[in-house]
Amino acid sequence: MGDRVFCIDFGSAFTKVALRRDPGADAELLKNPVRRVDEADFSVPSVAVVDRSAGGFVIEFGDKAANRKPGNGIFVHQNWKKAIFADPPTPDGPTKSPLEALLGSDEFKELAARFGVPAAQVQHVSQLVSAASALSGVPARPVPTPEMTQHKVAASLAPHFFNWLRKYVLDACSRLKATGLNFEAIPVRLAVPAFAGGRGYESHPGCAILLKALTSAGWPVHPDRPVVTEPYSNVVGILTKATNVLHKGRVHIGNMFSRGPLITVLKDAKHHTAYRALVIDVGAFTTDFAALDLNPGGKDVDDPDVAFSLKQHSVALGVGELDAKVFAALPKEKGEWLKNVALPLDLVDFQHKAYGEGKSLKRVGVGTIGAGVESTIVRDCVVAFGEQLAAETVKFCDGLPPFPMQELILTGGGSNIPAVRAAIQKAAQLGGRRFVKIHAPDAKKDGDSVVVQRLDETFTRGGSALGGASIYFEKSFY
Amino acid sequence: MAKSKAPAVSVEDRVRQALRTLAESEGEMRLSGRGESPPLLDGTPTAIKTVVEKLKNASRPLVVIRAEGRTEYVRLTAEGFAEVFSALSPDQVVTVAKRVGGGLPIDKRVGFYDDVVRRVPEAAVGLLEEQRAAVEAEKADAETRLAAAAKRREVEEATRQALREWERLQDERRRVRVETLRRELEIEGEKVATTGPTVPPTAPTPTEARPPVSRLRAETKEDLTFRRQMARRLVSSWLEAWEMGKDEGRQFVETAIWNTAGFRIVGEVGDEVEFDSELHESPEGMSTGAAAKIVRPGWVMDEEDGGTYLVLPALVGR
Repeated sequence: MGDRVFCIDFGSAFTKVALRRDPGADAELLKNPVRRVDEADFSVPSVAVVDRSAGGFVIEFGDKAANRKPGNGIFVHQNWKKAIFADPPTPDGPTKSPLEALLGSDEFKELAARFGVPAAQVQHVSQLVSAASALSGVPARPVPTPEMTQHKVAASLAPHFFNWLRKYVLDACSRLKATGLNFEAIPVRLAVPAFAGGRGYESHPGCAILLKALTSAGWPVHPDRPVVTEPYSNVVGILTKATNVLHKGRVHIGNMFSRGPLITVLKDAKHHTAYRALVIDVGAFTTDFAALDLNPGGKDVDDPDVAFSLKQHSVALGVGELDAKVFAALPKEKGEWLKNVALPLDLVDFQHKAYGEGKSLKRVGVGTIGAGVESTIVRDCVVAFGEQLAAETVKFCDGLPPFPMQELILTGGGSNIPAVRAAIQKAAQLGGRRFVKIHAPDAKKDGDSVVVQRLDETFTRGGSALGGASIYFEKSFY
Repeated sequence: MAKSKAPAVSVEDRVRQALRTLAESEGEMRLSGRGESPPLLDGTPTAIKTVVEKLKNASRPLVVIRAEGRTEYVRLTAEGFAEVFSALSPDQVVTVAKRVGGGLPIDKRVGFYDDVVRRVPEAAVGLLEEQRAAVEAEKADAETRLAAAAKRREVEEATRQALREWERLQDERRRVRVETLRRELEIEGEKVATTGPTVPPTAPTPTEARPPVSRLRAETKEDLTFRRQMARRLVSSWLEAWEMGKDEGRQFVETAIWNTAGFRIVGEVGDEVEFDSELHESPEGMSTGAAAKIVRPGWVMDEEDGGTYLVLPALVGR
């Protein structure tokens, strides 16, 4: 019985944790006491630092690991989540013993050449070792590829990360207003990337690694639903606004979803045959498209969870790409200052002013950045970026069957840029596609029939964690 | 055959040349004209007018004239030194830096030597003693200022107490006067309205006199966003002044930040600290807890819910 639950949205760059303290309580994001200028207050850096400077090794996460530089025995693992969820890596080339692999490696050949050992001698030693291995009958081991090594490192980091995260979460809970709750006993649910249409993701090796790591770190894992997919939990978090409603001990889906379009389809499937939530998340380096479809086939549905299907697509196009284009297009001195010198406290305001308001940032050393002609340059880059995202939006939407009842949800930092948001919004509605409701930061009414819902940072960046903590996923309350 | 004319030397080149000559000079020099010491600039007052104006520029003087008795000497300022240090050998840099640094006010000296060593690291050995003395002088100066501040505070407190006592005496006098009038009226047979004994108003304590100012609170998300943006812009200007070595300007911005509710400076230059990525950043790999020195302070803002907004991590080195 999931009376209360934590949901961890384990992101590539930042992790967010939400808590639902009681069945009918709103989910809340746990605040990080250390706030950096380019992060949300509830984000905690996922980066890992392995410190081998003193001979042994010390592993650090969160703000102790943020913004650290490698070198002097410090190893920084920025996006180790990616290695966990990458396709299972396979050995490279023929099977060899580790010693044979060493002798055959380019690095060893380079070392030998540096010491003046002729290549022929290296080859002879290699042959000798091969012959000796064959005679001894010692079974050979596969040569690890770089991906295998990264995967192994990431898998070994996971238990340490969740161990550290548990302490961080319990510490954050100790700062909450007195509740008398035993936070240590509250089970946890994990939001993970969606695979294969959102089905069978629980059996993905990456999920298995993370669930094992959670358990070994002392987290009680949710007994019925230990994992949810990120796009799905994001939609639930945003559409319910993190509210949880019970009526006579049963989950009240209608009130939770504010009697929105989803409820219309659930309650009257004969007249409203299908529902789709289209989520477009414009992040720093990627843009993720997800279509969460409910097609009940004319029958009323009590539990939408079992009837949803998911389609998603990701493109390597994010705000980082826009930054790169703007920095390259501006006069050299200013572009290089933004690219190489500017600190987050200046970049954040430059992006907000130049991309969002069409205004400039002033500095004594480099002058005004983004004024006059430069304003046009920045605007052109923003428009071009919006057009690229619009083209990707059309491509994704064209592959989807038409649904009469659709909601559009725009999240991620890129959705805060008005011109980008407008371009995506327009592209999503091309070809006669219509949305009955649009959720976006600073959303403006577009046409007479469209309802707009403004999203704040809590939902544009914390939606997955909030949704994952929803009572919507608790079967015992249906 | 006509004599070819020497190419005209620009004012900037003449200024640079004069600064270099002054830097390399082992003895005292006067600016121009005749005297016991050699002149820095040759030529008639009209010919050197523009160069002199550049050197004595009111907003950024490159040289300063010092009078000793009836003689006037010209000395390099820190700004003038910054213009020519790249043309000097490390040994010359040390010699000139000692001369220039010695003439600076105490609060500018440490920053000046820091700046020299940052630009010419080889000068560190030669300037170590000067820096040590400058730090000591700065410390002594700070102690003197602290003592003066404590004394001032003592005098202010004594004045406040005296004023309170003064006011109490005035009230007492008024009370006695009213009481005397009342008794005179009674003696004359007049009825006096009994409104209870006249209670002299007590002098307000300092806290009562001025209601406590509630701490600045961000009531809405917009308040918080605005407050954080102001914090970033102030610290950005402070950082730029720091990076450009504009100490005077930096001090004005620093004062504004310092006096803003919630702001806290992270470290002072030279402070020995244990590296902590929650407050510091290092340009190289550094372990948490490793011994480090503050190279440039940082700024944080304490927020109402107990969180800390890390506006600028302090820069540390080994």
